[in-house]
Amino acid sequence: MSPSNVPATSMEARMAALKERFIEDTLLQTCELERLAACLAQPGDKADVRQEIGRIAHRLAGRAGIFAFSVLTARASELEHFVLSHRSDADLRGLTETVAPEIRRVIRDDEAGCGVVEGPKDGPGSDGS
Amino acid sequence: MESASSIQLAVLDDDPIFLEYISAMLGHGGDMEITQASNGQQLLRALKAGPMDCVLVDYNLGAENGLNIAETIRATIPNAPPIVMLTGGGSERTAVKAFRSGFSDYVSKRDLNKHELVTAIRSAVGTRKKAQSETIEADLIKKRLQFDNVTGLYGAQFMQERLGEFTGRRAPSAFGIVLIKLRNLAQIRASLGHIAGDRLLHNFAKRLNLATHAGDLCGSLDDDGFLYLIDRDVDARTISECCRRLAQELTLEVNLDRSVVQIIPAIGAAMAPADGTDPVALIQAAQQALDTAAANGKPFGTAFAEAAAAVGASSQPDASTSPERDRAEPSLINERDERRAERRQRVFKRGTMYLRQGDAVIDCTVRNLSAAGALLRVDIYFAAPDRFDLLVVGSGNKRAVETKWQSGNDIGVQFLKGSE
Repeated sequence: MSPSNVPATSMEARMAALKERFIEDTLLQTCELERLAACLAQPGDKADVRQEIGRIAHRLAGRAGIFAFSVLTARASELEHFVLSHRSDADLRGLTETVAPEIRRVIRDDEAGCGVVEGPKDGPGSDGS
Repeated sequence: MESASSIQLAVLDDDPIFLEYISAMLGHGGDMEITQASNGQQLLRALKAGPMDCVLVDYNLGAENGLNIAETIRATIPNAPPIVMLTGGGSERTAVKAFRSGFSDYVSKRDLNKHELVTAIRSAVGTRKKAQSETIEADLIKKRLQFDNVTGLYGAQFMQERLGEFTGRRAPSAFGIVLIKLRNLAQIRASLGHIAGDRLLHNFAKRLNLATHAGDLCGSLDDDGFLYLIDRDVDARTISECCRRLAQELTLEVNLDRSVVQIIPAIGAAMAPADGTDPVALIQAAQQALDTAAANGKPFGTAFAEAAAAVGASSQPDASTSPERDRAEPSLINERDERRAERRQRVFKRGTMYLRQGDAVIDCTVRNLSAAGALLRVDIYFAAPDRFDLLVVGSGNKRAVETKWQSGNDIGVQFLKGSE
């Protein structure tokens, strides 16, 4: 890490560590989404699978915004809405398989420094601290 | 840096990353102290462990639901703090549900705005503080109304209500009433004026308060009369004995400016249900006994059969004290001394009473002081709250005290543990 990347305050360090945790966890959850999407193609009752997709999407939608991933919030909300509105397994599978690579791409772009940054309104770091 | 006025905030969210984020964001300024909880059980434990100013609850908690948790908080935590809902869903329906369930405010997680969230928390805390101070104010007013301004004893309305409660009991039990009047109050008022009459009444009430048992109710009945309700050890003998003792202890001389005034009480007693079953009948019976005794030059009279003739109803007040009397009616002065763990020393220092977290400040004189408590005197009568802070000028910090008794302008307080 170059000196210019060293966090200036403990608050920034805390936020940087949290964002790191968020990214790691989100990538793990993306793998899980892909596994669940594959399950939707299998015969049998999918209630648990759908519920788990909804849970992951809900959590991602809630936390992505705070780390400036507003695109992820929107896509995860859409996925959650598919679950809540009882869309067909095929529709849900299709969207899940579309969203998962998008999540990876957005995170990769952010790490490469070319992500679209739209942080939380007046969030930490935006108050000059 | 945490300040004394920082908001104690409990945050409940099942997402550890979001929980950590919210805690960092809100705790960053130093004006909020955050307690984290990842499920309802943890939150309830935190609320039971210490007071919180506000609770921030996520709506969707997986297995749990923010609405149910809020209901549990309100059902199990006395004086529950205001609850602000955080939600990822953000639907109007959820917002309506939140407000209907008594949430103070509602903030969306998905386009989280720090300013909006902080404003919601501060507003909820402010509204609660305002409501609490209004309740304290109302309690103070209510308490003040219970007491008579002139005598410092319970007021007439309060005594009438208690008498009504005594007679209205579903399972009537015996109790006694003693009516006490100042025979010469009208003359004193006519010759020395009303202010002097009020001072006399005040002194008389102080003596009456000391002469009555702490467990009984005693207060004003009207402009010049007092009512003493006795509901323990009620029989003709004990009430007659009580009247005799009151006649002795309330016959006194009072210095009013340059005049020495002799106070002579007139006392009449009645018992329920024998002498009446409603307040009016009982007071009439006691008044009649009082009038008859006064007309006959007796120190007191009773409406009930004079089973206590042996105790000297027709004799003049006797200063001697029988051992029997000591068992039945221990002197209140002795009893107060026994309640005190240590002897107090006369100090006569200036003191300051801080009421309602310092919103009201009243000067007082600290007359006696010990390690356990103090006797305070205020210049103007007011009903002291159950608890307040006391600063004895020149002796260090404010200390939390509990009001143990009040007699007019004198207030006995006990220092609360841990307030040094």
